[in-house]
Amino acid sequence: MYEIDRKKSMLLFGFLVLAVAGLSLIAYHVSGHMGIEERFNSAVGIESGPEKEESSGIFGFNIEGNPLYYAVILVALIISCLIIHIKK
Amino acid sequence: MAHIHLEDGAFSFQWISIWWTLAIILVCLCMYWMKNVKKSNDNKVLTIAGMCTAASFAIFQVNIPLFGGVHMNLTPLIGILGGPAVGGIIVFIVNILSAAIGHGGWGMIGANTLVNITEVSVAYFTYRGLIKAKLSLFSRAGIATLAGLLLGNVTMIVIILVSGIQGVTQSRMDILYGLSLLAGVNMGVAVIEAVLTGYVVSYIRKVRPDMLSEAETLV
Repeated sequence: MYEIDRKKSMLLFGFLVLAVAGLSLIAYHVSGHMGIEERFNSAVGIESGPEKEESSGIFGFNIEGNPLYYAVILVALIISCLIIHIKK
Repeated sequence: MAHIHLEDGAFSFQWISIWWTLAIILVCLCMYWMKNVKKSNDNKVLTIAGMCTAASFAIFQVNIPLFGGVHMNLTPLIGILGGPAVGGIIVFIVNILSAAIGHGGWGMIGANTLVNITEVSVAYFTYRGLIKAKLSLFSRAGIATLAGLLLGNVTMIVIILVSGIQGVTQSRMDILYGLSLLAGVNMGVAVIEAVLTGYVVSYIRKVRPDMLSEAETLV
């Protein structure tokens, strides 16, 4: 066993967090406010198509992908698990 | 977290094949290695893998309204809890499921798996490497997360620069500049993920210390 240096731990982690957060804010101000796909397309030079109408979600939190596919995948997974369970 | 958020067709078929092949080779190595682990730690490893896959997939599908929209996928936590071999398989499954629900292209699964395996492995080895530094568990996990996600972003940039993007006129230097800014923004989320991972690992240490010792014996 070894003795943990809590002060050193917090100082090191705190410094890293502040440094990374500072650089991140600079990057955000330089690149501007945009969605993740728009940011990626802009970074690599792909011309963005017409803006997709996105729902505002819950407090701005949105779910990616097609909701119908979630149901399809869920059903497929349940069936697969049942088959494996029965075969075992 | 780093994730190549481009549609199918952005990379040429040649590069999609190369990244897929590399990813499959790595996943096969993980599975081969898992065969040995499975003999001794069957249920625990499977439970950790199942829990991490579900948590990672669920959180990865949420678009967080920060900096205009970002994602998390808990890859460093997967690395710390499961180790690189289990983690490699988990991120491959999460990428396949994500593509299946329409989040990311099928062609990008190989490249994204490589990016995520980098995050998982770097986080795991940093977490273990910092034991000698006598840091608290929270700090070790947090620093490992920052290191993993930083290297994940670097891998993402390298993969895109090497592959090139079809149909764009920007020079590689312009793309590098754009991707560096993107990685900078991604690292803002890494800070949140680092604090979250630190708390989760500290909490697990309190309530289920055996889950952490699991990872410490895996490699």
